[in-house]
Amino acid sequence: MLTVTLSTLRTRWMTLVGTFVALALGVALIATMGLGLASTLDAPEQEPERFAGAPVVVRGPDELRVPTPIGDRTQPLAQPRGVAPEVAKALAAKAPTVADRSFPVRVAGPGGDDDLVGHPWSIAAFGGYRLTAGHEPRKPTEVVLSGDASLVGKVVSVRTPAGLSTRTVAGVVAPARFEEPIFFADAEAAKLSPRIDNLVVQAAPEMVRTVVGAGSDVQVLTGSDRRKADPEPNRDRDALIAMNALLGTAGGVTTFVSAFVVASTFAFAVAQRRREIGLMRTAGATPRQVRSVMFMEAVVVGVLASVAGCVLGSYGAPWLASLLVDEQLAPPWFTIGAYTWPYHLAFSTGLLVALGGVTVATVRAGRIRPVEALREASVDTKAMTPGRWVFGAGLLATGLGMLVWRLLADPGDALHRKTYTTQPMLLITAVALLAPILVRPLTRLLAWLPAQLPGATGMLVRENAAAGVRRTAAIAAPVLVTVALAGSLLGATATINEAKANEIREQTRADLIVQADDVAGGFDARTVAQVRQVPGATVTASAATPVYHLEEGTALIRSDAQAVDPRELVAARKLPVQAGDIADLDDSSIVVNEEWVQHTVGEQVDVWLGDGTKKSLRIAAVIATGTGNNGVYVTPRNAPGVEPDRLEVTWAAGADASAGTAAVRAALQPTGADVQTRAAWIQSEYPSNSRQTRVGYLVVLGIALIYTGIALGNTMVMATSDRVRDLAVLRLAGATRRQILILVAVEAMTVVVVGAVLGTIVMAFNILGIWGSLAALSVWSSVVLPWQTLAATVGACAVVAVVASVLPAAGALRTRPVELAGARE
Amino acid sequence: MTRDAIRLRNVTRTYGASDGAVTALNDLSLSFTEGTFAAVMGPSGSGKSTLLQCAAGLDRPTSGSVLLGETDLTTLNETKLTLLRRERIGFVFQSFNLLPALTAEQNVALPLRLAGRRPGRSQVQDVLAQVGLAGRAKHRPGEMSGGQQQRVAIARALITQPEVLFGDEATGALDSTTSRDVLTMLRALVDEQRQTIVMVTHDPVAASYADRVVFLVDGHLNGELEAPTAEAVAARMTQLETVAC
Ligand SMILES: Nc1ncnc2c1ncn2[C@@H]1O[C@H](COP(=O)(O)OP(=O)(O)O)[C@@H](O)[C@H]1O
Ligand SMILES: [Mg+2]
Repeated sequence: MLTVTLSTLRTRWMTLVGTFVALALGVALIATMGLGLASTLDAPEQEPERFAGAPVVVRGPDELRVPTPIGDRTQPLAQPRGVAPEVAKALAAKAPTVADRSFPVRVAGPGGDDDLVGHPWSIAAFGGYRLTAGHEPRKPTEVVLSGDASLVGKVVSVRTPAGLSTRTVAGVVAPARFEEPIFFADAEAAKLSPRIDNLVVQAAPEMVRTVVGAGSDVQVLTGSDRRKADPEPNRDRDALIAMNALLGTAGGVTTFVSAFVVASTFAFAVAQRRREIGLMRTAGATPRQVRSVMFMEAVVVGVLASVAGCVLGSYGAPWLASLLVDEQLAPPWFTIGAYTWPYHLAFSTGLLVALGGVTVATVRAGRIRPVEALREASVDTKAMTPGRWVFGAGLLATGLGMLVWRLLADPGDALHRKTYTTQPMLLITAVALLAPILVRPLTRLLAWLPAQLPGATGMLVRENAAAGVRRTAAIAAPVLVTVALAGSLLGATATINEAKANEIREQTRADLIVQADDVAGGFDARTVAQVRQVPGATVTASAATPVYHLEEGTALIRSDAQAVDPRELVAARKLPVQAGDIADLDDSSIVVNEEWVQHTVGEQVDVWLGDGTKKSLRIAAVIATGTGNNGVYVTPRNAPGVEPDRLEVTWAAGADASAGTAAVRAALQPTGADVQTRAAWIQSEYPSNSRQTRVGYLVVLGIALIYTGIALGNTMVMATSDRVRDLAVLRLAGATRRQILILVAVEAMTVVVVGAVLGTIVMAFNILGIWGSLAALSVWSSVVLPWQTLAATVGACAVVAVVASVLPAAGALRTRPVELAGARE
Repeated sequence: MTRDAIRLRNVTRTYGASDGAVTALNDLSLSFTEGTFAAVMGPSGSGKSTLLQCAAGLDRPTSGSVLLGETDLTTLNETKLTLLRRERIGFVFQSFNLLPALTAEQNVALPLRLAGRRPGRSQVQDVLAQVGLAGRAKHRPGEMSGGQQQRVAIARALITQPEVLFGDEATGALDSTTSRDVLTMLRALVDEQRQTIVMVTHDPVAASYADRVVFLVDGHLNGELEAPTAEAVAARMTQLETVAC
């Protein structure tokens, strides 16, 4: 009896510590993410920057405003209109004015090209720019840059919308935080970019408003409204929107993982204390008493651990904020605000989940019969409970059902991040609940070969893992989450990227593609005509321009459209036409994709063009939604003032392609645009995840995965402490320390493999779902599995599991086996 | 001719340090003859278990030496000692110490497998038959009675054909009928296969199955009986316990 109590105390101690650690860290994670998320909800007021020193700024219309029954909806206009020359003239007649023009400029620097914003020198002072060396630009060839004094006098090569030229640096200003400027003499700036973007007026706002007129859509900005004339008026808010989405996903994932780990740890802890519970029952405790003791313990541990978790979270959140700032995912000023709701949320989630896990487990614990304490040790004969069956099967059905339903009803939804991050969660939980059924056959299968060897390890691994189904399932659970989450999320993005690349590969037919960059603007008519004259070339000139339309009368949607001649279009691209005919596209019609609510050929649809003009166009053809990149097409007449920004050249049969290519390159040489072959173009368009996306994933996944890693180690230590007696018996049967440590390590790895296999099954379902959705969207793609990440994840899990089981086992081996095995009774 | 299977020379075993030290065995010298069945008796706390564990290489004497045949166990390191135990010594405890996850057969084969040998099927069957469990090979410990479990433990101890089989209160957890069966079986092992057995017990009836009984008091040898009867052992024990008190 003495040893029963002793070993019970030992397991109990480990169990309490184990559940405490799992819960405290889980709550800390939820609190950290919650605090981060709360802090992204309100951005500080952004002060005017570029015109901080100007009393009144007059600005042309830059928003499309559409009245709807639920109020005005707005979208930034793709082609903001400048201040009309008449307005500028009228104002200049009444008060001193300074015209601003903003245009992209590329300067060839020693370390590569720099993209700067060009302005006339006169407005420099309003943005707080001061010369630090040299003088203002006096001649058309002179410019002022931000940088150090050594630049003064240097000759630089500058590309503007008007072409390539060389300029002399006349002076330098101190750098500003809102843009990288290059200043020209006023007259030169007016020549380079005739449109007046902003007009500073040195007069009273009322006077300016009277001159502009009440009905005009010209904006008169004063006070903090002058921010609208800044390069990125919503920079701070936008930075937070991206972060909010990121932390929202991260928060969802971590909350799920925490709840999952905490519930399974608490349930495992109760299962592990079967001997102790049997002992209580022997001593006369009723099932009810057993349950209430367990429950009270869980309340105490739960409250203490949740408090500890909140305290940890209060340190974790600022750390997360600085990590996000360091990784440039958050603006430099981002800090954690003083919010209390994340703490309440984390505390109550943690406590509820812990108590939930315990309640479910104690129903079972109450049923433990007194004799079970007297049994030497037990084999899990019935690891599947009715609850596991009901909830496991229910969740599995829901998860798979949603997968299928989405395939049929809304395949495009499967490609959204929100969907493919939540989809795995249902299936993970379902598989974890049903794990005990799968564990036994799986371990038998895995250990079949080693068990055939003469040594004891293979046989012991097989029998122990299969007999301790519940322990095996509990340890495999964190591995399952880790593998399934990492695999599903990374596999989903990789598969979607692959599909996008495939789509581009499928649709691109041209032999040469030239894409203008922002600085060069578009290709002027003369350049386009030159390219068209190249012998054997069929040229497709397209211009990117947005089209806005109202969906369901309330949502103003912006679609990326291209203005192109339909006859040219079919030569260069193979579009997945679902209805109608592209050739029918004319100046009074539009080609839409299936994402539009209204997509019936022949119907009229109201749209606003890139410059804000309203038009009613007939639907000429409908193309498949695809991965979401299949845009909308209009004719060049419906993109007034927009120059083509992409030229696609297709060689006629028998044309001299190499001579033609050289001729195209020569024609485009002055624009500096890059002429790419089809292969090079497809390569460059391949959706590569930017550094920010990758780091973002690291935040979403990494933090959750570190936690599952800790949980794995934690469960492993708990489980090993439970095995001390078994190990002592093995030693008495003649096993050496080495043999035992090897056994423990191999057992740990086997369980990790079991978890990995289960996780891979979940991942396979998710990725198949994505693949099916893509197929339903008429995009063919191969399934891309992130094997490298999976291997690394499983490897890391194996290392954690081995260390976390071998170390406590080695510790236990220091005691003489006769004492542990209960020989002295 | 008779040879000693195991010899203890001036064995002292002290637990704890300085003031709190307990001397469980005090300069004890004793040997057990090959092919005989010896019982060790004495009041509780007299050092019986300590004696057995030192003799079996499960524990190390503070001083003195333990010879198994020609090998001095006290000079071996932990791994060598484990290997020697695995090959040459069998041990049975009051608690059966079987691995719950393994079947009777697998439990019995364990020492061989740990030695890296594949047990012959008939070898395991034979030992199980020897302890009267021929039909129970596929059962797990949880599905067997105490007596059956103890037989599995004995079979496991015998599978390596050890030079000495030690038992510490091996029948202590069994009812009297079951315990008698097990003792008869042990007796047969000695008579038919010349197995050497050393068994600690506090039951005079159990001791009467032995060829010889040695008595321990406070870690000292306190006489012995050859060809003991239950009555003689009981009388001697009563005497020892009153002296001890
Ligand atoms: N691990 C130990 N630590 C300290 N003292 C011990 C330990 N094991 C046994 N003893 C002491 O040594 C003496 C002999 O114990 P033991 O050999 O178990 O006696 P027996 O088996 O005859 O009852 C007792 O006084 C006991 O309290
Ligand atoms: Mg004893």
